[in-house]
Amino acid sequence: MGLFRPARTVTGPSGDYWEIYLSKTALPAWKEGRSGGVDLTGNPRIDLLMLPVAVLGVLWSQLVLPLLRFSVLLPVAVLRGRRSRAVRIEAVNNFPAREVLLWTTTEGFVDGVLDEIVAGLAAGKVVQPVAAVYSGRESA
Amino acid sequence: MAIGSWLRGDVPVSRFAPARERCTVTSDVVEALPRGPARSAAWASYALVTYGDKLLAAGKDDGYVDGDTARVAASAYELAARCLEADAPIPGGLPPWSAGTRSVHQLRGMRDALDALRTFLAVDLGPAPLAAADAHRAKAGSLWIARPTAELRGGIAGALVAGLDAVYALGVASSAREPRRAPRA
Repeated sequence: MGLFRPARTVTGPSGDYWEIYLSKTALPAWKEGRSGGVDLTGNPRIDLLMLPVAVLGVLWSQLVLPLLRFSVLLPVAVLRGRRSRAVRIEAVNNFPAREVLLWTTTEGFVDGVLDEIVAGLAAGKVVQPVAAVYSGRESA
Repeated sequence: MAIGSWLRGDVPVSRFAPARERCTVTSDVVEALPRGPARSAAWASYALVTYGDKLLAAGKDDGYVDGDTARVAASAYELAARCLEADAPIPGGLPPWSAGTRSVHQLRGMRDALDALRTFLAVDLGPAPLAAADAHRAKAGSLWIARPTAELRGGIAGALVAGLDAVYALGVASSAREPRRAPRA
């Protein structure tokens, strides 16, 4: 069971290609902060001086802060996943737009649930296996 | 007094004693009645009391239950007592939960109530009419693990609510009339 290698791949009847990932860890969401905008004064010299401040603000809120948050939450998520017998099954389709389907099941039923999901996607259906909870579709 | 429970606004189980005392129907009382409206009302009352009892029994060990459990249990006892009044309508179902994810304690109470009511009906009617409820119970069982995630708790709660609704409705209907017997070959 790995985060970066699909457990199965399947192609649907309309040619959509799905990669199925199994994981015990729900990765923390990447949450970007609000970058405080710099108000222009109308004075070109002062505005030019404020440019580095604006760039630093964007870097802080869009990259550094989310990365810090992610780094703190990731070990907690991994630890929680290792202690749990819950298994997340994510079906990912990257074309034409990224689409993610999420199911949650338990260790004892993962193979059967995976078989049902793969058979369903091969037939162009999103199935809801008895031994799993389907959480829905996430598009980006 | 458990300070944590008090700070969370939990309710002591002992507070339900007066409401529980008004509900006098047991499984023996239901069994003793002939099928008809009185038995149907008695079944509804017994099912509601069982639901309230199991929810309270599955609470935390400190003698407190959370606010949502308290609301559902209180509603169950109130409906159970009202069932026994003359010409009172039989409630259409068990009291609903508020939106949100159920706790493990709440799920345990729901599961225990489903098992108790299912057992009564299995003795009364045999296993065949319970197929739908059993399917929901099996789904809940397949998702049940120690420390279930929020998604799993949502799935378990959905299955248990469907199972409880099925046994409650079956009990009300089968108490009102003689069950159909399979024709002899």
